[in-house]
Amino acid sequence: MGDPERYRNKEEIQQWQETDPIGIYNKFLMEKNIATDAELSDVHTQVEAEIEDAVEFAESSPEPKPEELFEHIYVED
Amino acid sequence: MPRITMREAVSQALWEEMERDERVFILGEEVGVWGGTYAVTKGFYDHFGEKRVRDTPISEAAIVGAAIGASLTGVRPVAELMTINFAFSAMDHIVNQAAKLHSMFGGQFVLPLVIRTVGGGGRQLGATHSQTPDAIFAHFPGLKVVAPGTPEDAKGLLKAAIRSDDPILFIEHATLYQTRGEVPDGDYTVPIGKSKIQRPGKDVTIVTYSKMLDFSMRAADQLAKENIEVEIVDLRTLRPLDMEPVIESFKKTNRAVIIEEGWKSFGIGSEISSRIYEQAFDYVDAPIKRIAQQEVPLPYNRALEQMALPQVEDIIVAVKEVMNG
Repeated sequence: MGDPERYRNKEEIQQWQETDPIGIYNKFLMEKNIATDAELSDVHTQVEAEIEDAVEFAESSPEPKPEELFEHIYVED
Repeated sequence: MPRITMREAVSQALWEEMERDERVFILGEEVGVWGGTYAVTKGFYDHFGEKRVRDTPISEAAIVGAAIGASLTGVRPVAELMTINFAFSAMDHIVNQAAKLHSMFGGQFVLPLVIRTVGGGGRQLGATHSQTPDAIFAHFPGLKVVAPGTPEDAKGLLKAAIRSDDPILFIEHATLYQTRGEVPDGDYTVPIGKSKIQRPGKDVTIVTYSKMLDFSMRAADQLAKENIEVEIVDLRTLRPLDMEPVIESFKKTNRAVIIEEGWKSFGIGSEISSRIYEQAFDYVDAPIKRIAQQEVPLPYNRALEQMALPQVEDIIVAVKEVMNG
């Protein structure tokens, strides 16, 4: 999550990770023999790496130029 | 007089009113066990119990809807919306129900309801969590909109809001919670719908409120070094709008700068300047200036965000321009 989550405990988070849509879909894929636990785990690792790359890209990018403040408000000016 | 933070001022107001009147109760996201996103209700749950400090699901529509229903039964809810940006999810309840029920039922029902919420940008929270849409809410007859700029006013206005029988949107600024100021000892209220001169002066009238009051006071200190004495009128309540101190000040200075954190288009500055032109046209010595946020969704990047928001320097420049106008 995007914050330290001090307002709920680990057990609660884990419980919802198992019963939220991602957890339910994981179970569904394994029950139907569409994906194995190892394959799902690989997807997870891959996504984590993509996120880390994105963070790295953002942090190593130059600061935006002042005129960019007014870009992309509309398609047409 | 004790010197306290804005956070303490709001917290004390709530605490004292809950002690004074057992019909007052709080509901909102994480207001109970967690003590509030901005720690305003820390300790309330343990002291007042779960019936009067109610944690709700993450549904602003449910929070305001429940508060409206409760208020109609004779209790006095203080609903907390984590930010004013989320108030859009409760828009129908706020503007179609809360603002209109008293009128549509011919005055048979009252809604002693306060919706506390948090507005403003400047904390790199991105476009959807940094808005100052105060003017939108001030558009609706039947709803009162209060936005304090000092701890003294925050405490006194919130206590007055809780005692009022009208639905009130109470907007706190996200970056003012640590701001300190003196508050009177003991129990006091500040009247809703009254503007206040926060700094006397004779050269230019500044009209502002909330966080921009703080910026205006800083600009005034710097301008005073150049022998420019600005008079600062703090609106404190946006609806009902008290123009009397504004007009009185303007008739003396003949020049005005209006500062708001939200966007300029269809905003607070537009309303105030129109009213000055309508009510004091013969006293105008220079075109009235409006300072507001750049007309863009607020960027996440710190430099761009600060560039988009009004700054102290913008106020100084505008005051000098109207002096020369």
